[in-house]
Amino acid sequence: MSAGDDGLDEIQAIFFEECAEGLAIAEEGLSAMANGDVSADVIAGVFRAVHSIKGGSGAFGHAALLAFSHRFENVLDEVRAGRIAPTPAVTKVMLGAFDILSDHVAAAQGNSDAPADEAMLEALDAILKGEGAAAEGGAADPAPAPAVEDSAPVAEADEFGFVPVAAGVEDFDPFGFEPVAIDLEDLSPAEQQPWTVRFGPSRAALANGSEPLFIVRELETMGGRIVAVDSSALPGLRDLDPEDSYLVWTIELPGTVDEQDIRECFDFVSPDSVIDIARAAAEVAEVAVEAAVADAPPSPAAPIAPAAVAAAPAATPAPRPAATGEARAAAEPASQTIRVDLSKLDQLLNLVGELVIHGSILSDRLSPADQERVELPELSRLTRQIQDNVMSLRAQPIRQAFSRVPRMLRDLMAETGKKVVLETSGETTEVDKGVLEKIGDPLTHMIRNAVDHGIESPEERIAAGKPAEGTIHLSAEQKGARIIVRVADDGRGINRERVRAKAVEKGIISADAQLSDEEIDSLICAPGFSTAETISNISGRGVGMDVVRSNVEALGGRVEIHSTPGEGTTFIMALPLTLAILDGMIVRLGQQRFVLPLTNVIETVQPEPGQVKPTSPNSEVIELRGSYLPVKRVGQIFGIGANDRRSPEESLVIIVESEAAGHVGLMVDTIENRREVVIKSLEDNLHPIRGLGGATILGDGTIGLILDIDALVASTNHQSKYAMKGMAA
Amino acid sequence: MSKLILTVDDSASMRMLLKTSLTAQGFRIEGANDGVHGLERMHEVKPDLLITDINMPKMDGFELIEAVRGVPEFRGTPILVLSTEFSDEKKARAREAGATGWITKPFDATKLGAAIRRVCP
Repeated sequence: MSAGDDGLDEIQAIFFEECAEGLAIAEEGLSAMANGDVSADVIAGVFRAVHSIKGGSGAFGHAALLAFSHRFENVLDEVRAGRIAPTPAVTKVMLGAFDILSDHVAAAQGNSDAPADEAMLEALDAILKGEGAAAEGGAADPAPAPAVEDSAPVAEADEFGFVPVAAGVEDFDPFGFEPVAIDLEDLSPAEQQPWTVRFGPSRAALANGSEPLFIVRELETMGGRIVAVDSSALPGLRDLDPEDSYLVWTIELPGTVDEQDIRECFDFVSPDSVIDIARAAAEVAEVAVEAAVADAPPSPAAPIAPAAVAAAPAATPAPRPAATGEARAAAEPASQTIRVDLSKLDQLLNLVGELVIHGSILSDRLSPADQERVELPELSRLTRQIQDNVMSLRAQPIRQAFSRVPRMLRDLMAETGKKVVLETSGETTEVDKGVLEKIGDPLTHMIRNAVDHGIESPEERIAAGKPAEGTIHLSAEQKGARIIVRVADDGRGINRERVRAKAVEKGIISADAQLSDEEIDSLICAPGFSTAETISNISGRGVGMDVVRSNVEALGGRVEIHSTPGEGTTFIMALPLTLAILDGMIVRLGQQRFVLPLTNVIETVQPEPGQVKPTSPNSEVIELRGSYLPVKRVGQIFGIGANDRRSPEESLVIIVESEAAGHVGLMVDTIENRREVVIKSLEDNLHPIRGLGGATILGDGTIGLILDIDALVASTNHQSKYAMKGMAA
Repeated sequence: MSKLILTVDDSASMRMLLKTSLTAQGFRIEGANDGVHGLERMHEVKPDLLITDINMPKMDGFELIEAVRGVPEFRGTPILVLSTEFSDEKKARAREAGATGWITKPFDATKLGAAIRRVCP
């Protein structure tokens, strides 16, 4: 093969991607089956997924994966065929088999050792034996050689009856063959006996695009010669059907040729053909010896004429059907895909980012009239379209991240003895591939946290008047420019007293700190707060929620916790829809310019005297159409002094919508502009800073910091100090 | 002109593997990712040989073979099935549908080449 290892590695990488997709589909299907949906479509989907994994595993030489997937597939095939009922017990075994299959895939990728699968193989075999005897034969051998051609032709040959070869020789006298009697005792050892092959293609053998001539030629390349043709069945010309077959050839091959090689030539010949392969002396007393044939040129062309006639329609290009053109037109938008290296997309995304920035610079430097003259608005519109398109290239359904959860839950249930039902919704929500890849771990920790700390033991739940089975609801939805992922459990809720005590003990808060419930809940995610020691008796996992928060924040996202004692806890991950570009409102605070994501902005208010009222030394509200909204001074939060001394009347209040606190007013000095900005990560160079989602280069080349509204709204003076510490570090 | 082969398989890695190993043996390869797409590509590229998988979404291999055989132009085009399935029942069904031959996955590239030349030299 001319392709180097690199080529194969690349294909193998795609195979593993397909495995991941297949596993996700299989798991989804099996979960549906476990929940009672045993429709044919679901079962077929699982079967196909496992089947594809098996197919590729063989091609890439992953023997253990091949063997296991094969046995798994056998059971699925029986279930698919309706020979084994997908009872809960059977489905349970298959879920277990799925887990092992996942492990085998991981092992094939070199991520782990091959799992112990003997017990599971026994369980699968037990299913086959117990309820599906039909599949037993197939289950024994992971990769059996094709069997049908070996047996069927023999049976057919019997039916046709054995025609002595000598007859064929007589019929074909013109070639000068002479039947020669051979004394068995004169022959060399059996394996050296020449082969005699009788081949009489059936009508069907000509119908399926087969060409017997090719087989004869292939036998010739192995040293075979036609020694006789039985044309006794050939009718008169008037009755000759050009699509039927009337001839039986006798071909002799050297005894050194392997029988298997000869049989392989007939692999594709319709089983109702005459195919008779035997050592010359073993069955036939009279053969045409090689010497007799030597002068006769093997000339298959003439006798094969009927076959050639049959094949002719294939060779002659028929007039192109008129429908073809339409079919092509309809086909193209349907399902053509191309696989592209992700780094190329990233490059494209970066370039589009640069394009957006330069568009901003242009619009800054040109007067509105000049902008119109050079048709800048049209350019901006096109840039925007390119940007949307590039973003959509990277979008993937979040299902891929969710699909890991059921298995993890099963493991956790086994580990903890708790019973949990998983509900999911919004799996089709699309997120940027970069985001998708990075939320797997936080999601894992959130689920683990919910099971470890949230869901109570069955006894405890029953005592509390709840169903013994806990429920975790995993959902995703798009809200503005954010993807909201929720992990909601119906467990015991957060024990705030203990969390607070622990936070004091760890020096995260002072003993006299006045904290709201939400603030206490969010302490779980504070650095240095190890929940594992505090709330749970399950240790050894050692993953604090602060890791979750820092991971999510590194993505430009945010974690929130809502908890009601006795009723449950909801973890919310608010993730950026895309990683790169946002519509922003440029605001000014002192000398510093900030970017507010426009999707959060509801309205802008120029406060009248008295419209902003203090409620405590640290908090203010704005009265707006009869209701009061909290107001945050952005400058104060970031320690930018200028804003502190301003009276509200000299400032602007931007009403924003936040995930946690609803509508909130943010007080800034002034609004400068509205602009698309390219988000540049701060974390590459700095600590994550609470309240800031990143930075951008503005049209004039200066830096603008992008505000993370939700983090900002949630922040208190205490947290802002933490933020500034982070900034200093 | 080297022989043109259309490979129909829902697995991209399998299509690529076929393409890599068969291109190296001097064949020209086109691909399609399911039966529906495969049938459309048949009309477009008019291959010398069709190699198809059996288990595919939308239209499986059996249906594809039947559909291809239903087109007079393709009556004599050899069709090989390349599948991990190996049951006699499935093979008989494929033959009934009009398949020329059956190759069991995983395939050995050289043997696959030989098998192809057997039906399409």
